[in-house]
Amino acid sequence: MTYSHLPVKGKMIFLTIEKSRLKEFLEAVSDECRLIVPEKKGKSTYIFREYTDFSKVALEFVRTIIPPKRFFFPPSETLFSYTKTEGLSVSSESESFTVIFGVHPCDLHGINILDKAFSYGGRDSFYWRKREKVGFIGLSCLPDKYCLCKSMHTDFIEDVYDIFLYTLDDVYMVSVRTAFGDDLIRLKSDLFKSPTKREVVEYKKRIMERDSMFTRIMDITNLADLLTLEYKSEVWEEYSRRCLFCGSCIMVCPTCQCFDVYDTTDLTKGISYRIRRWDACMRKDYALVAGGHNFREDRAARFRFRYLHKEIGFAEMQGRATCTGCGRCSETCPAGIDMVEVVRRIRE
Amino acid sequence: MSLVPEMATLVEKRYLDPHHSLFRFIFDNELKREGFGFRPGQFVMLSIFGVGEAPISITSGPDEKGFIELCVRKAGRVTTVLHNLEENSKVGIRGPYGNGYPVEQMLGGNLLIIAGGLGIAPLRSLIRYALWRRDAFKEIYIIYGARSPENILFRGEMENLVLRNDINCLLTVDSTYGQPWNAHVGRVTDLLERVRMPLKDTSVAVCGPPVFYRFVLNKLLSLGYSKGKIYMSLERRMECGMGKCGHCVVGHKYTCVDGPIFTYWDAINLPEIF
Amino acid sequence: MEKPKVGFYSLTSCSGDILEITNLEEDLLKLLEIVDVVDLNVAMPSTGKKPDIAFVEGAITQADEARFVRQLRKQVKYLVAIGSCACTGGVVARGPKQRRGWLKDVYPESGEGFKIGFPRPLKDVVQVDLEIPGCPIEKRYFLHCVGYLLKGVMPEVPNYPVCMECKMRENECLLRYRGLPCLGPITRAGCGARQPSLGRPCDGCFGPYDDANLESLMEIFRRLGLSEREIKKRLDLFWERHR
Repeated sequence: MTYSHLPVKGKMIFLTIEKSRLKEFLEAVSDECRLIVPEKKGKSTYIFREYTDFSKVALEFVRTIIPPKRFFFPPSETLFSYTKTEGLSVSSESESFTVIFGVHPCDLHGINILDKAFSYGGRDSFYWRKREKVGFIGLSCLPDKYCLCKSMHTDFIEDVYDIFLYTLDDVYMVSVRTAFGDDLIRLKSDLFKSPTKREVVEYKKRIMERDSMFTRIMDITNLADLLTLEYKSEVWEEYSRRCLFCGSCIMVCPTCQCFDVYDTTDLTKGISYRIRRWDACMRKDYALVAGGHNFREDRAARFRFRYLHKEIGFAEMQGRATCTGCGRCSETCPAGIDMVEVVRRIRE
Repeated sequence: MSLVPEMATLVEKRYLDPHHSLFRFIFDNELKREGFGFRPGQFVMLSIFGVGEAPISITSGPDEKGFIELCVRKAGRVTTVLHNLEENSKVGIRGPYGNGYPVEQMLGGNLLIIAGGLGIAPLRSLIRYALWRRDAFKEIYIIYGARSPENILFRGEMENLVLRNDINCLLTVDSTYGQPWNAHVGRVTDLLERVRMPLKDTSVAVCGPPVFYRFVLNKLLSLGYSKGKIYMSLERRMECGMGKCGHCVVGHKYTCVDGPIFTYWDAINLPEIF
Repeated sequence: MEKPKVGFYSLTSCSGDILEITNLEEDLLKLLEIVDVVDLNVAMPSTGKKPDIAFVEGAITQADEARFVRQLRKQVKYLVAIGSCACTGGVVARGPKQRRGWLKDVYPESGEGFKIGFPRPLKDVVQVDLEIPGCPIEKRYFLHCVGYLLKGVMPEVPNYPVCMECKMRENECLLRYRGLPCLGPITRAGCGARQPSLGRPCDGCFGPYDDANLESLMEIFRRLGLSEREIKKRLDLFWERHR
């Protein structure tokens, strides 16, 4: 098995695998490398975690609490350590090769955006050393009331993944994107067949059906201009009174990349560690500088900043608004603040 | 590009005033020591291991090789510990970061440098750059203001600049507070009236605290300087220096990558700049 | 170089915070190689030496305790309050002001030398350099703070809510999905979302962080069906007294 999957993209190849045989395929993958799969956490929540048993794999879930970014941009990560006697030492942990199964199109788009963000201004070595060792088996999904991917044009993906599974009645239609994906297929090539004419018809029908299931629409036409024009809108003030500034929406966002860097010392070993940890731009001290000046202290300004940054700032760098429409922020907000509603208010 | 610093040694500490000192560092790695190049206006991330990291403008000139100097105010954790460090202590330095002043575009023209307080830190680098190749510029004016005579950083150096006749260096303090002082007392904006050089071909580099900017920029505009030729250096919280961590974002620009030097025109087009 | 001298002192409390420190076990033994522990009353007799850094748990309820803390303040470079009781008076200080009267009912004839007063936090009596909140404190965060104090700098106090740590641990939001009155959104982080990770709502023992939006959370609690009394009770356990 070769691990050179990243940019080696092939011509699109389509195969099928019977649903009842997915287990055999995943077990073969899990024998070969670390396999991460979606599992049920609470009554209606899901998380990505290490594969243990096929019966626990969630195949019909909408979204996980945290997007898969945490496997290459972990919530907290040691960058290096320092001791007086030995100087600097960058942790050289060899990352085990990981395949994440069950990633939906919105999250794959999110990964694409993060890849760009962690390359802007120079490649982030800590991100990429993990990211380069992660492969993706995508999985099709059906929308719930929070899903916005259709509006954000992220409901379909042709990139980033190695293999993508479209759920049909009895089989999965399998798109093989990269050489690494092909390596995975060849672990159990006898499980895969060419699609039949009937399956192609069914695939088309499924796409149409899914498309009609979206109930949420967010109009993003000229949104950057509108946000600029409504910079002083009272809408920001109004929502900032409701917002708890708890950071939940940021923690669960597939494209939020902010981090905080701090040192801690293990006294018992005399080692200092530099750690980076997820941070939230809405946090009060976020733009506070030594000496005490805070460049963004006002709550409404902090609330607004997240929208401005997603839709204009980050967008200018990425060539598109960076919301992937995954719906996590709206679903998770304890104060029930819904991005779609905020944007609608701005448009009014 | 990496978040991992290079090891460096603090070789010299020069007291400037009760809150500021000048620190000279040399990289432990010989290749880095000789090869470290930067533009005036760029900054480095300085690490004190176990305490943290802080962004600091480079104060030495780009033509001075083998060491770098940082003028640092005692303000946060890192800088407080730095002030207590003894010579020969180890620190970490990574960089340089940011765009720096567009010196190539400034060459051949007039240069007006306006500093307030610690704003002299990055501008000292630009002054050194310009004096190193004095003939490459036409007229040079340096205006430096501080609260009181004892707060004039690099006072000896600045007074030597006043004595030079190939440049015009004007100093001012808000008040003498009873200390000996034979230069101007009053605002930097008063001294701007004394600048005698054609506006055309004049690049203006301004650095100082937020209030200082407000007064100086207004004055410059009323005197007719072009917004596109006034260069400001923005201070923001920086944690990575590489356009990733997000802390230094102003509107839609990363101060650490797209700045910290912005023309006044670019700056006023950023949301949330003032 | 002489090792810095550290003392641990217990006032009126359950000793739960110092117990947490002794729970560091092996790490504590290694810590002893770096610092000279001059007092640790739950584990050893006093050495009689004066500390450079004093960690004090518990509330001040007696005149003796106040005198002791004032004396300690004069001796040390850093005086650190550890745990909710030392920071706010603690659980024992909760409840309405009438409790002062109840005390008299319970202890009608306080014996001499046992003049119990209303529990007070350390900061009401002396200047405190650092507060490490929590009931009990988080031992890893304690070590982090010690690391900074030994370098002569104050550690950065987490100024964000428990929600951020809770999300990082990929917990299901108890407010959103289970309708539990969790104080996570208004409570200072640092504990690693201890309670929510076990499925119990946060009780707010670290107190508010600087940006806590209490009004909005109270509105959410009301919508969950909590009465004003219930909300007050919830906040009164720890949170309110940190303000």
